[in-house]
Amino acid sequence: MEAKAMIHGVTRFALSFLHVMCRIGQLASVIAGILIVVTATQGHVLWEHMTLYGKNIDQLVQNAGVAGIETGNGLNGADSDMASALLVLVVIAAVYALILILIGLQAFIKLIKNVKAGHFFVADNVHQLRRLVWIEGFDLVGGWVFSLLAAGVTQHYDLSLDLEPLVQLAVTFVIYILMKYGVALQQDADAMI
Amino acid sequence: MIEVDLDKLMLARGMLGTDLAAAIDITPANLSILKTGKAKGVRFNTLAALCQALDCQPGDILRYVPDQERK
Repeated sequence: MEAKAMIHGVTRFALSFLHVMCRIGQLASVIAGILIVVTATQGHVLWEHMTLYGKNIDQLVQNAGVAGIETGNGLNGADSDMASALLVLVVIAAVYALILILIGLQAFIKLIKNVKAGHFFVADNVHQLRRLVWIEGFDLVGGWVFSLLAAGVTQHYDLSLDLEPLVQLAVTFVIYILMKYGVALQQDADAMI
Repeated sequence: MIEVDLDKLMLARGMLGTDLAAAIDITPANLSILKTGKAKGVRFNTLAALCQALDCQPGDILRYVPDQERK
């Protein structure tokens, strides 16, 4: 019973924490979306603002910024082909990030609804957490792919390793394992009359 | 394996399933699971409530049957 209570506590804390993070991500994505629309209509892109998308897109923006500096005129004065390629890349990365955020939000909302209804260790929560693990995985791989593509376009190779998405994936995976164990315990308890 | 002899006891006491379920505060569905031996386990407080409602001992409800004998 103590172990179960501990798992309850840890899961509650983790879900609350992830909920807050999710809200921050949601806010950031909305701001970034507005910036894309505003800057696109002005005919140029404010690359620095794209950092709102997070670490992975940050890498891309960094590459873009360096490319602009190397040309001596900033990005807006840089080679137009490179600028166009980067614009396309950033937009694709932004859409990719937005899709992940939306799927993640959907999973979070379902999780929070279940928790609010008092259903902690139910199969649906395991399903939603598995979705979140996949999203973290796609975020990690997407970050690498977009960074590589950006490096290819700008010819600026930054080999620094960003471990943050990997840590996020590990934390989500641990929560998923805990939830899976908790559901098995709950099913055992439910089978007792 | 452990067999549950609730049917015989209920018949002897003239008690219906719904009445017994209400008396021991479990659902009729769970009582049915218990009667058919599909339950993974029985809590002590459920067993105590059953003994009180049926005026019997745990040994009257539960019976061990070796697997070979059962076949």
